[in-house]
Amino acid sequence: MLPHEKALVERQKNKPFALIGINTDAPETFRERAPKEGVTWRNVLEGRSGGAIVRDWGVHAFPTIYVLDAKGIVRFTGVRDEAMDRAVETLLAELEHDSKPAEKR
Amino acid sequence: MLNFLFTLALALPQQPPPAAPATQASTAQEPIPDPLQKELLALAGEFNTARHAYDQRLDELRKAGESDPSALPPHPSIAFWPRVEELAQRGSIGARLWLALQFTAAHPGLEGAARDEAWRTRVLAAVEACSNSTLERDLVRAFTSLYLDAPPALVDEALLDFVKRTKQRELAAEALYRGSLARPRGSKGLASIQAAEFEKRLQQDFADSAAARAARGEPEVGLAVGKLAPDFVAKDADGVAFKLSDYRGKVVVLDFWGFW
Repeated sequence: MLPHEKALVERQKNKPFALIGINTDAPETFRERAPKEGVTWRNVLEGRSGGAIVRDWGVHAFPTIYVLDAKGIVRFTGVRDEAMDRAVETLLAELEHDSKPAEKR
Repeated sequence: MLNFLFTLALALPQQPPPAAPATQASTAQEPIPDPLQKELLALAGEFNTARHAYDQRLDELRKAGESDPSALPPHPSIAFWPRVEELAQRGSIGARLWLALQFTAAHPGLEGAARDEAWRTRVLAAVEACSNSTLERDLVRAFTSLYLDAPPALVDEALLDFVKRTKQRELAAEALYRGSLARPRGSKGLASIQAAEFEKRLQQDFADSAAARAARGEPEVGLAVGKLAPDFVAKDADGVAFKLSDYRGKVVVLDFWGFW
């Protein structure tokens, strides 16, 4: 899980990509463990009972993953590990392809 | 079709409206329910049976090659009109909507300016009764039906009156959107005289509404694949505020997780 996400962030660090965590640990747990375990990406701390985002997105199981394209459209849900990597690669390839004609102009 | 719509309106369960977002809580009010809902439902049931029988009879006559209009049975709306009108006078909201939608079916002899003026009165009365009631959604849908046959100036006036009266911004926006798209029966052109103004007003005054987004060709907001992810504003672990939409232009993995 976590090693996988770290690898993904590292691999895509020069691409138009971001991993955003909505973390549901007690904030003190997150603050203690995140630096040790190399969580470098942005996280929102919603606490153990969840906050507005967990509620609005109707998340009841963890981990829950949404992959959004560059337009903010939900493109994949429930993808984990390798499937998540492939989803990100697919959308990055799509973005690169879409932006090419614009560069020519 | 109008009857179907009417039945739909009356069959709506009396459920509380969905909780309004916190920002709207101060302006949102409970919609007014129809005080004569039970009587209205009973009458609507009766009407629908009569309407069904009428439609079947028409079908039989058509198949038999009957083309003389005088051989056709009278439209059931004619017989029901006084009963629905009585309910409306006693304060039924749904009955007012019915009177607006069934006006021409119930008055086949009426034509020209007299018809238009009488129809206008009924439609404006329906707008007044339905605005901010549990039937206002049905009223908004009814605008599209009204544009089919009613004089467009009449429907335009009623629609703008509704937009002024309703406290539900989303419904006001939907009404404008419907008005900007409505087509008259048997024509591909737009029905409303003010279609362009409706469209403009939708984008100016209700730009954040679902209807305005749909008009702009933007996808519907939702959590399903293919929908626009709902935006959020949050503070990250360092206390820095950001919006999900700040990430437009990037592929984003949103990961709900924990160490536990």
